[in-house]
Formats: sequence, C-alpha cells, structure tokens
Amino acid sequence: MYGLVNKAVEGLVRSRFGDDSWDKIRIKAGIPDEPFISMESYDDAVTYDLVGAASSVLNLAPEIVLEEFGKYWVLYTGEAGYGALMQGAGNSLPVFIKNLDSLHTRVKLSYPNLQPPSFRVTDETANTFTLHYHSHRAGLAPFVVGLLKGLASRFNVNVEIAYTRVEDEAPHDSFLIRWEPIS
Amino acid sequence: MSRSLSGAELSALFPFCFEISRSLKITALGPRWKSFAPEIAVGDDLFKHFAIERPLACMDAATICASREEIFLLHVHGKPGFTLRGQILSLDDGDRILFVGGPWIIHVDDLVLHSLGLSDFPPHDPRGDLLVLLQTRETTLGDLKLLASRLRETAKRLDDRNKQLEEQIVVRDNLEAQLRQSQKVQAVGRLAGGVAHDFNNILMAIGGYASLASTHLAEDDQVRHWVDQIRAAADRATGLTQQLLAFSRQKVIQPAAIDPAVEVQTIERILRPLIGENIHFIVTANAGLGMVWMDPSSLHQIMMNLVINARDSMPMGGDLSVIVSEAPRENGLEAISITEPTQSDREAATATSWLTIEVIDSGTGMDERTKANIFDPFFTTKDIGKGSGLGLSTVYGLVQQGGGEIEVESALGQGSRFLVKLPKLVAPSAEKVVVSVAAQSDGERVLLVEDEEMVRKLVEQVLTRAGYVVVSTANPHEAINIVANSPRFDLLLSDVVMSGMTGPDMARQIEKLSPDICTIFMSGFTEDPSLRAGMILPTQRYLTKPFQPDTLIAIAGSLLASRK
Repeated sequence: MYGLVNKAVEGLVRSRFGDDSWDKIRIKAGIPDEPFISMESYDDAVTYDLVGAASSVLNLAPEIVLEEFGKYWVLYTGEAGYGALMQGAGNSLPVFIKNLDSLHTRVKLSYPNLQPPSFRVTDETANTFTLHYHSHRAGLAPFVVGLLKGLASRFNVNVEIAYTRVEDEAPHDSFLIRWEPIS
Repeated sequence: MSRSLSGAELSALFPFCFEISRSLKITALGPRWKSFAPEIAVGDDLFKHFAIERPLACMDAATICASREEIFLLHVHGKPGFTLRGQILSLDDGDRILFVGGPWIIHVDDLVLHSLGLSDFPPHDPRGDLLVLLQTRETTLGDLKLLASRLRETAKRLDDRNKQLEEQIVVRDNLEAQLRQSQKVQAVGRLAGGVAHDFNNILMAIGGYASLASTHLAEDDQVRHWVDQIRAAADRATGLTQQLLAFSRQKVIQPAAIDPAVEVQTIERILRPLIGENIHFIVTANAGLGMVWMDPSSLHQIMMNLVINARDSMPMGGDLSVIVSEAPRENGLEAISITEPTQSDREAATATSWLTIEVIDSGTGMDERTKANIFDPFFTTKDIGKGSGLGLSTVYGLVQQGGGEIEVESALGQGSRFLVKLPKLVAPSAEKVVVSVAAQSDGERVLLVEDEEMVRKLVEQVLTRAGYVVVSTANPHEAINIVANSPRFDLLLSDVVMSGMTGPDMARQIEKLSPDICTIFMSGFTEDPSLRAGMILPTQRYLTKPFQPDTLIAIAGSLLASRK
C-alpha cells in the first residue's frame, strides 16, 4: 500500500490515542521512527502489522481498529488535500460510491502501483442500494463498514449496513445499505 | 473517417461548449452553463460574457475563425480566476462558430472555488487526471517539507551532540594532561624522597659528629671554628633536602603553634621575586596577633598556591594584597580539633576568634561555574601543562586539616578574594614553640633501631653521653626479639624506613610487648600515610632527620617526663 494509507493509520492513532500510543504501536510493529512517504509504495504487511500492533496496544479487536480506520480515512483524505477531489466525486452517498472506481482510476494515474479495490452499486432504490466490494486484500470488510459510516457522516445521512460474504466465482463482500437523510 | 456527433454527444464530451453566430451572438450553450453561469443566455453578445485572451485582438468572426487551429483561452465575466481552455471549430463555412473545451484548473482548491467537480471533466479529458497529479505533487511536497524539517532537527541534534563530544574530548584531554602532570610530580616526589632519605642519613652523621666534635674543642680553638663551618654547611644541605621534600609534597606534617603573620613575612621573601614587576604586591602582616596550630610548611604551601594563582590571573599586571588580621569567630567558643602531641596542647587549642589571611587580586576573576569547582581535585582553568589542578584542592585540604575554613569571592572582570580563616589559639605558650632542653637522663633504657650504621653509632654515642642505657640493632625483627626477652625499655628510638619491616609496624608489635614504652620515630623521608599526616600517639614523637643531638636529647627527655 502507499505511504498515504500508513500515514492515515498514524494520524488516527496520534489524534485519538496520543503520541505515546503511536510510539508503542510503531515499536511493536517494528517500524522505524521516520515519516511515511505518501507516494512511496510499502509492503501491505506494514499496514497489517500496524493494525495488529494497534489492536494489541490499544486492547481493541482488529475489526474495531479497521472500522475506526475506515471512518478516519474519509476525514484524513479530505484533510490531506484530497477534499476537493472527493467533493468533485459526488454530493450524495450513492453517487459518491458509484464514482469511487472512477476516482481510483484517476488516482492510479498518479500512483502507478496502486491496486485499488472496486466498488460496484446494484439494486439501487431511493434509499437503498447494494455495494459489492471486490479487493485482492483479505479481511478489509470492517474497513468498508467504517468507510460507509464515515461517508454517511460526511453526507449527513443515517445508514444501516448489512454485511454478507459472497463466495461465488468472484468472491467479494456485499453490503446492503439503507440510508436516509438526518432530519 | 467521417462521423457526425449529435448535440447530446457533443454536450457529454464538452459540457462547457457553446456556439456563436457570425454576428458573435450566442446561439447555443452546453449543459453545464445553466448551473455554472445562469446569467449567460442564448442571444447574448459573446463579449458581454466572455473575453478572449489572444496575442492579437480577436474581435470579429473572421479573425476568430482564422485562429481556429490555435488554443483559445476565454475568461468569463463575473468569474474571476476562471479560465476556459479550448479551440474554435468553424461550421457551415463560418456561419456558426463552435467553442469546444473545458475549465483550466491548476490547483485542486480551485475546484471548490468555482463549484466544479470531477464530473466536469469527462473521461476523455486528462485535465481531471492532471488535478489528481497536482494534488499528488502537493502531498509529496508536504512530505518533503516534513522530511526536511526532520532532517534539520536531526542535523541540529547531531551538531549539538558533536559539540558535546568535542567538549568532552577537550575535558578528557585536559584530565589526561593533568594526570600526566600529576604522575610526573609524583615520580619526581618519589625520586626526591629516596634521595632525601639517603642524604639525610649522611647529613645526620656529618652534622651530628661535627656537633659532638665541637663540644670537645675549646671555643677559641681554630679547629672548632672549622668544625662549626662543617655543621653550618650540613645545615644548609639539610635546608635543601627539606625544600626538595616540600616541593614534592613528601614532607611529614609537623604542626606547631605558629604566628601566621611571621610565616607570611617569611614566604613573602620567596614569593616577591616570582610576582613580577607589573604587579603591585602589598603584604600587611604584623606579628603578634596570635598563634595558630599548623605546620609552617603547610601555611607556606597555602600562601604559595593562592599568591601564584593571583599572579597568573593578572598577566597584564594589577594589584595583589595579602592581609593578616583577626576576626571574631561567629559560633563563639568551640573546641578546635587539632593534631595533638599532648593533652595540654589540646586544651590550649580552644579558639574564640580566627586569624585570617586574605589574598586579594584585581585579576580576571571567575564565573559562577568556575567558582563552584575551584576546590575540586584536577579542576584547572590553566592551559594544558601549566597547572596540575591540585593547587587549590591542596589548599582546601590543608586549611581543613588546620581546623580552619576558606572562602572565596569573585566575579568575572572584578578580581578575586580568598579568605583563609585559621582558629586562633587561646593560650599559646612559649614551651610549645621552643622545645625545652631536658636534663641528663636518670639511666632510662633506650632501644635504638637504625639500619644506617653511621647514624646508629652517632645516636648511640649521643644518648650514652646523655646518661641513657642504649641497646642498639640494625634489624627490626631482632629489636622485637630483644623486647620479648627483656621487656623493660623506656624508650624506643627507631628509623622509619628499614629493610624487612617499617618502623611503625615494628613499634606496634613492641608496644604490645611493652605497653608503657615511648617511641620516637626518626626519618628523612617516609611514605607512611599516618606519619605524614601527623597522626601519631601521645606517647610518640617524630623527628625529621637530620637533627641536632641536643634536639634528640630534649625531645626524649620531654617525652619521658610527660609519661611520669
């Protein structure tokens, strides 16, 4: 994964749990005390190790850490300078999610080693849709749940999320999403 | 390839397109204009809403059409900072002019500023990707700034650490130099001590036999005059060995009641030539203020260190004053602990006031850090090789040993003032200063242990002539056997440095066999720490070789009398 992702993990820990916690997690994960470079491609293991170390140091289940990271990712990318691009990707939850593949495709032009996931929307009604999440990385469904909750907060809507693991010829995670504006 | 695009296809490809007539009236607008700039309407004059940025004025349809293969930049009135980039297509032989293009954005923040989104950049339009690339550049620049900041911090930390290491290296080099200097002084001291020991034995024999010979000659005898000259020469040689030992700090401490003013006057004569003509050196030392209990050589050493330091702080000259005076002792009556030869001395050493020696200079002075460390061993502000760093620590130790105190006042550029305070003796008595000459012996038994034959024979003669019964030996082990077999000896007179066993070790064994025995140690040099510190028992005395026969008889008589 690119350093931008690891920087977000660092930002999440520092902002929510303090610099000391980050130092403990970094040391436990065997990461040197130096800044991540956004444009540098790191081994996926670095990110997984950070999540594992955070789970251990913060005494939180890995799923919780990933979900929190998903929520934080929406905030972080906005604060890290990608806010305008995200704003341009849509002004509602379903539109934004439908544009994610297009957004990732554009981003890949700048991050040539990017291996983005795919977000496909089906069965869309006025307040529901099904999100099909395809990724070559395992175990990131909790991250998508956090991402959806973070986006719901961004677009000021409530969401209910029902997760299903689909094991067909193209195994993926499926999320039935019901959303409505916060009154 | 021939292909016609429908209006819908054209609008999808270029949402910001628009069409004008030959009369430069807007005849059609792309779908994005409605929300982006609703004030622009079909039928409006082109230049009412747009300004064309071209090197040459482009104000009519013919000129516009002539530039159709070139880049067109359009500014929209009422949208400052917003630019359209595209080109002109001439349709129907110039009756219709079509602008195709889109927003030119070079900073992602402008997307929000102009209410634009990525959907305003159709997939074929790389300007949307350019925006991502631009943001990536910004992110990378941010990372670089962060890295540069971390590098600067690290470089500064390294720089600071390097400075610390350099300072530590300088300190270590200084300490090593001081250690080498100290080792040199120690080596010279050992050499001096060894030489002094042999010299003093020889001088003891020369001076002693000369004294004995003198007493056998009439006062007007020419030979007696020559013998006295031999004694005088031996005395001078004795002075030289004492100086050598004092220099190398190997001298045995022999405290006595001394007038500090007199000692300051004595040392002034030695110091004045060392001070230099550019320093105004004033000594105010009036004898008679009182006495203190201290080895005169210790006081000389204190003065030597303080005055030489003061001199060194004034390389360009200045004022140097030494003042001896009396000051009340703040805590009133207090028994002063002194190195004691007798009980009466201890009783006398009760002081109500200090005798003080001030050494004041107008030199460079000291900062607080230096002032806080000056009495530490090996601390020096002098250049490498010029100071051992032991001078003031020695001064401190000597003053403490004398039951006194030392204070220092100094500030950078304002000179320094050292105040040595020594406890004034309440009732200094003449008999403590001058050793009284005892009468002839009543036949007390003396065990003489001396491995230097010429000294042993001389001392044996002196004691015998004074009426003592003398048993002598060169061997300390034999001396112990003698006492074991015949314990009744009144006095043990022993050398200190002997082969096989030292005098003090032998004395400890003999005193166990004969607890009432008095002991006089005699030596020209000793490394025994307790003797050098003056730590001897009330029943013991120490005589520095060479000594006069009369002195030996007087000390022996005094010691034996005090036992009774």
